[in-house]
Amino acid sequence: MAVDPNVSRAHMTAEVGAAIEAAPAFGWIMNPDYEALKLRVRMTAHNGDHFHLLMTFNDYREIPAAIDFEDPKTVIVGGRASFPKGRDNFFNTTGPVICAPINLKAYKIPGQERGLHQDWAIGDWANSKAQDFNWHPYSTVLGALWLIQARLDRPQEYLGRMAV
Amino acid sequence: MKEKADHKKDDDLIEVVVKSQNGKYESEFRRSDTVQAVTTAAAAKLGIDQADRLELVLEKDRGKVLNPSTTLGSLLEYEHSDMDKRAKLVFVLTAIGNGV
Repeated sequence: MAVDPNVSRAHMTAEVGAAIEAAPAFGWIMNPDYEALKLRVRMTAHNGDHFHLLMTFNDYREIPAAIDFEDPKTVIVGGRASFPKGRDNFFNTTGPVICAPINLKAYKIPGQERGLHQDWAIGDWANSKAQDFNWHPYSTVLGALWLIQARLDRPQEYLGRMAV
Repeated sequence: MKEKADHKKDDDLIEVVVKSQNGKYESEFRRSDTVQAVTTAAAAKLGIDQADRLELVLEKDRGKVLNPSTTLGSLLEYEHSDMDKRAKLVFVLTAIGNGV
């Protein structure tokens, strides 16, 4: 069932506002497009590498935001060179995709060609306990950015780009 | 003497700020208190379940996960405290989740 875009926009606006307050501490450069229901964030890894996150909020919060990485020059979304590489499968090289239940693109459902998980209940995304981890605190814009930034900050978790 | 004793007591206290995705926690701790004590207090105040494998890092050095048994006093060398102000430590409460 489709969510009124104005409802999704209200959720997005409130959550992006909280993230904008936190942004200076993490060096996030926030570029929300509320009309298009899109948020672009430039994030920086511990070694200075930049990543350009794209969040899309269609039907939010009935379903999670679609979270991806974008090449700011070509505007190609989901390219391997735009993705961080991690120690585990959070930044999943199969896809590539941010493999977390807070990301619409992780679900293997129609329209999500890089999705990997048929085993997750999308209707319960904000309270998911997949992989024995409580994803609820990270089911907001700020929470998602917080989780991704924690990985980019740590040399043992962030291993460079998936492709050059 | 009392004035000196009070001054010593004040010097023992550290102003602590913990930032999380759930908000900010601010309190005072002693130099001998541990990172674990701060994590526990902040998580309780911020309503975050400690079972979520929380880790504390200094905001100025977010790449280094702090050992829970580390004392706050030993972390002050990371900060360039103003001598006229109470010592202050700013932490970020993080978790990395499970890669799936």
